[in-house]
Amino acid sequence: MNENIIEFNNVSFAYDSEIVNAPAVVKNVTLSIKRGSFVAVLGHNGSGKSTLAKLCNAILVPQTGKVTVNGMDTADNGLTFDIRRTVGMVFQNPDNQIVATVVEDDVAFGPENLGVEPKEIRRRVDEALKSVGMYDYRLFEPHKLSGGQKQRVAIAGITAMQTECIVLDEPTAMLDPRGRLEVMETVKRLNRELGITVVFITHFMNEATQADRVLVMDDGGIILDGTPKEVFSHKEIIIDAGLDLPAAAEFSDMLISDGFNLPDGILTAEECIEAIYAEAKKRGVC
Amino acid sequence: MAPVIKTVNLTHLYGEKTLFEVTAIINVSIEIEKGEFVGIIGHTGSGKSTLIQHFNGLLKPNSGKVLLDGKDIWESRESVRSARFKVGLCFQYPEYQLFEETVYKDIAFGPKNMGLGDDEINTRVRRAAGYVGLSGEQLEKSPFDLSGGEKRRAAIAGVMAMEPEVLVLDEPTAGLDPRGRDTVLGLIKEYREQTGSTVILVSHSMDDVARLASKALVLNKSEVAMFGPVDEVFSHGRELMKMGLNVPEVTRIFMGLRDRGLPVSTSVYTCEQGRRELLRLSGEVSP
Repeated sequence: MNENIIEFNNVSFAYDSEIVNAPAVVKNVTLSIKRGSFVAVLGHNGSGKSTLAKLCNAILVPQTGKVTVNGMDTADNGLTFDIRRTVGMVFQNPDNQIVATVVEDDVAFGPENLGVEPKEIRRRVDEALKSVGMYDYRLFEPHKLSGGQKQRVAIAGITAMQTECIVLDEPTAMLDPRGRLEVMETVKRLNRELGITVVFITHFMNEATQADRVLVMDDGGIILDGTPKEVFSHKEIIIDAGLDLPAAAEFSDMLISDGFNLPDGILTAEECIEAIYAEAKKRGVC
Repeated sequence: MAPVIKTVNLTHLYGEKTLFEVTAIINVSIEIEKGEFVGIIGHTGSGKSTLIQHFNGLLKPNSGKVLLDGKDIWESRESVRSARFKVGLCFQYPEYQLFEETVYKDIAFGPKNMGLGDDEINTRVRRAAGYVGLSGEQLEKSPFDLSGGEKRRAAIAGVMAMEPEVLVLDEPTAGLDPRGRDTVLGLIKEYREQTGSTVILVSHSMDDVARLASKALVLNKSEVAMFGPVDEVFSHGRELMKMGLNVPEVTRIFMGLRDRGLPVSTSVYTCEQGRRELLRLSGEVSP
């Protein structure tokens, strides 16, 4: 099997295709997402991130170029069903994607629609809820859950369809810090333990530092693509694209310009602590 | 002078005397002085939104009092009405509440309801548009033709145009990208400097509160957990983290250094303070 689960080949997309010269929102994007990888997508509002996400599972179909999922062309109507059971989407607002009045019914919605046997549905729902740490809440009413818990239920609804890839469009934007952490940890675990490919769109730089690969979008194109260390080393481009450096990176830069001898490429608080500690030791402060 | 907002043993229950009774806030007694910039932090469900809706009388306490400029806002019908204008509340995702034909009319909605004359309304709409950086041309557009960030700013201008003594903003930067966040925080700061009004900012972002507010109010499980100057509150990093809150990233770094045995202060919450603390430590600058 192809090592890439999703491939974009010179893809462009404009919302109002009826209008001649409607501005393209995604422009000439060529991209492949490796099976089992964890890819973060950054970019300011309106840079084309969400459109890119929707092109991944045939919610949108490109006007020019081609998107394939496991080799299936998303423009082929006959394959839409198979594409959507391969790549699932989780959206920003937890309240807009919960359909049932009981948590486990909500998770069962996807597999039911796929025509899975009731016994198998039971097994999948239990397994999916366990994998996101929500099994104990299976009989709860969704509106009694916190935002982070609702997002985890939404994720379980996707994994119960045994999708190979999850695309999450700013799943943490409306959550408090604890909810954000819950969602991030859940997604990381699904990626690590079940090998599910993750495409994670976010405005939070510290979430992006936890991915294997970071894409930065601006004006419909991908302007940076690499490991978090590589991407965040292009400070000017990041700032010009309307983004920030992770706070730990900003702080380390400040210290380096003050003459502290810290290594380049610090992205997380943990790395920053290690580096300052090592430097302090060298200077004999402790 | 009496504090601009004072609550005395404020308690609010939802669904009182039903099976579904939930306590939203218990015994909240706080005082906010005129001109202060207060950040309110707390996890989802800690009572933040319930509390701020008492400040302008949208919610009535089950017990306890809310005093505005020293007067109980529930004293009479008039006092409740005047509280609505004295305290301007800007909800989360306020752009969903835009409804008028033009941005101008939308911003004018509040002042019009206050019964102001057309000239005064015009002055206020333009002044508020200026605070949030909307041009005269944009005022004539339909609010639905603005970008997400512009809509957010138009909605905030609608509250500013009432020129409230106290401006309360519930998560004004939620869902915005970093540049949008900076713009909105910058304009709030500017508004406060120019008007001298009291600002209350509800936020999940400790970095935002650290950057702007002078005092922080921490709610946890319906109660006031801490209320004091920002540096004092952030020096309790570990307790904040136990409540499911974050501390600013720089504070986290200093907590980590302290754990490793470095003699650093943990009430550091901005990059600049962190820098000074490390320079002090390495003896390059005297404290």
